[in-house]
Amino acid sequence: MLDASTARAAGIQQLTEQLSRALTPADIGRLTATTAAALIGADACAAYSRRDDAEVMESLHTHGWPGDTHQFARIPLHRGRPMSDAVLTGEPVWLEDAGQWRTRYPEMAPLGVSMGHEASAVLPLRVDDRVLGAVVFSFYRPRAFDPADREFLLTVASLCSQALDRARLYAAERDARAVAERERDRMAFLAQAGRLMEAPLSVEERLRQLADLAVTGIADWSAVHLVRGSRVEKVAVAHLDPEKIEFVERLERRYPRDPDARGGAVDVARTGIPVVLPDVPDELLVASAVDATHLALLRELGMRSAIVVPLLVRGRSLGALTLVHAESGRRFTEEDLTFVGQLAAAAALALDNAALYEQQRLVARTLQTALLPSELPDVPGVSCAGRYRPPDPDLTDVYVGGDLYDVHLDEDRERWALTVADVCGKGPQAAALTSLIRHTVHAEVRHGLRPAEVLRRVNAAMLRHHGEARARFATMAHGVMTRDAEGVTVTLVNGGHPPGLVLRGHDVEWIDIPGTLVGVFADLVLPETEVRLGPGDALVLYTDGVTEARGPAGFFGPERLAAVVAGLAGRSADALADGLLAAVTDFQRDRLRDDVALLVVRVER
Amino acid sequence: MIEPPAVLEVDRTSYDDRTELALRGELDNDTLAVAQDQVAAAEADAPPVLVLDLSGLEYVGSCGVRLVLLAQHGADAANRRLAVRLGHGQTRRMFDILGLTTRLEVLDRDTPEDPTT
Repeated sequence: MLDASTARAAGIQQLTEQLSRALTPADIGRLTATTAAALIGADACAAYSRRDDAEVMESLHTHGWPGDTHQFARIPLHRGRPMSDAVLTGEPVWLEDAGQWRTRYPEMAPLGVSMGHEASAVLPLRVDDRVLGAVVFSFYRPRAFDPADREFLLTVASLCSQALDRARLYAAERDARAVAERERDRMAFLAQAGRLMEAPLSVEERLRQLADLAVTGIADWSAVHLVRGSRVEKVAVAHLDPEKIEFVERLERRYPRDPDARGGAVDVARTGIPVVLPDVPDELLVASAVDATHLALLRELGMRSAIVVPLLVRGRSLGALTLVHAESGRRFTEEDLTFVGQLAAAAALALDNAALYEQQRLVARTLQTALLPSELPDVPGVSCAGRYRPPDPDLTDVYVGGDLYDVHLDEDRERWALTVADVCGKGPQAAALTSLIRHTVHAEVRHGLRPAEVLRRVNAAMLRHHGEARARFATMAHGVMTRDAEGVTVTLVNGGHPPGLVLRGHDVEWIDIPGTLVGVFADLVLPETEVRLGPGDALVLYTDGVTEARGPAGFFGPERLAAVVAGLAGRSADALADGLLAAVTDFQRDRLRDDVALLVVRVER
Repeated sequence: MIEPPAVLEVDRTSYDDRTELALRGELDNDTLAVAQDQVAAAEADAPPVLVLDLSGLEYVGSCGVRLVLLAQHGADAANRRLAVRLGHGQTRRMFDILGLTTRLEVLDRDTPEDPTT
């Protein structure tokens, strides 16, 4: 008796050690059904696990049962059956021989005592008040489960229960970590895709690179389709193996897609409704194939699972992103829709932004064309140069400012009108006023009006234009230039504009004439002054983006302006304008505080 | 180089006969909205005279001048007075160039001394 007890203690110690090394519920099940069963002296054993309050128990391991036990892999809980009773009550069921089986479980007895089995100990796998499953130890001979025997079997079952509980916790933690890692990888992937969508690439190149990125971790194949008018076109397809891409290209050359064909990405791109195919059914390939060879080639691609999501933005579908699992054997599920949808949304937003940017560029270019002269007229004996720069060189295509320079001919009087104006503010409202100024000046100069009167007409037009809201004003330098044998005379007015300057030789003179800004007051003080330019002399008019330019050295200011202009003595009008513009932009390290317009008029020597 | 955003501070002081807003920092297109909010808040109290003290500004852009024009417009419409202090530096030069000095009630028009204090 002592020997048996010692052997049991040693056996329990050995089982404990083995269980402590086991990591998974399946391992615990195997040890329970083999090592523990051997220790108990059972002829067969089956260990089952029950998840939370599930109505079904799943087999962890069976040992010693003859025949196919697969049919018992999952068994429903059913009160009145020994294992279900053990699980539902948390109490063991002791069946010491075939007679007890037949008496207590007549329905189950044929199974319980089949193949010569007699006794069964059906023990719940309990930890505290939680029942994690059950284990059945079965014996070919009747066995009287005396109290010592019961205590021993329950001890073994308790060890298995605790090990199973630990293994489940470990598995849950591992699963949670795997989910967290997958989420982290997906977030990193989305961030990478986001950066790609902002990269300075064409839309198609971005989508191609997105498709390439997708096959580095989230799919074996990827493709992007775009809606173009009434068609849906494929713009990218990717796989890590270039030979596979060539295979697809050959396939598509041999069996060209009907551009009006429906199905797959085309339908998703048109309807905006995603499709998840956890399994790509062979019937789909059969339906898509043109002939037997085509079908064979499609099958060769080995597509297993696919997900197709629309590129949706502002309620419109711009295309579709297709991801396919093939040789990896992985599966897409409905749960993947969120992640792949986020990826598609990033691509759709980038597409939409690109379209909006293009639209804005077109509008800006159209407006700018209306605001600035495409070229300045030829004035005999005089060269003219105008320059305009938006604050940011990157905005050249999309910025509409309020600065204006212009030279135009009044043919009837053979005089040329010069204008530099700055409308307060920027954007479409400023552009509308700039356009109003330019066209009013053109019209009124053609009517033969003097400069001060032209500005008064512009003033009246602006007052009419914005009614009571008279705070959007403009400053203007405007004049008319007439030629004679020795040079030109410019009759100038200044509507609140920064003073112009004249370069004679190396000397700079300021044309500091007073005048009221335009567009606010009904009555303007606008004295005219005459500026005489001889051979080599230059008149420089500019907007306050020049003098108010600010860089690390402070404001550009009038003194620096005069010095820069003096330093450009002897240069042509173009060189003078370029030199001054470069000085202003360099001073601000190429990022301007305000837009800049310049006009240089120089009498040739 | 990215230029740091312009900063504008506005201090409001109410007297029996007037409300004064003293502006310090930079008044340009970027800070105009901040200043406009402060002017609107002061106008809501309907002071007989609203004084905009611009003499403490380090910089005023031509668009910053809109603040004064809008305030003048508001004062005219409500039959109240608007006055400004321009100092004798860059702000004053800007208003001179724009031809505004003679059209506004400038409290420090001639001397650095302020006649109201």
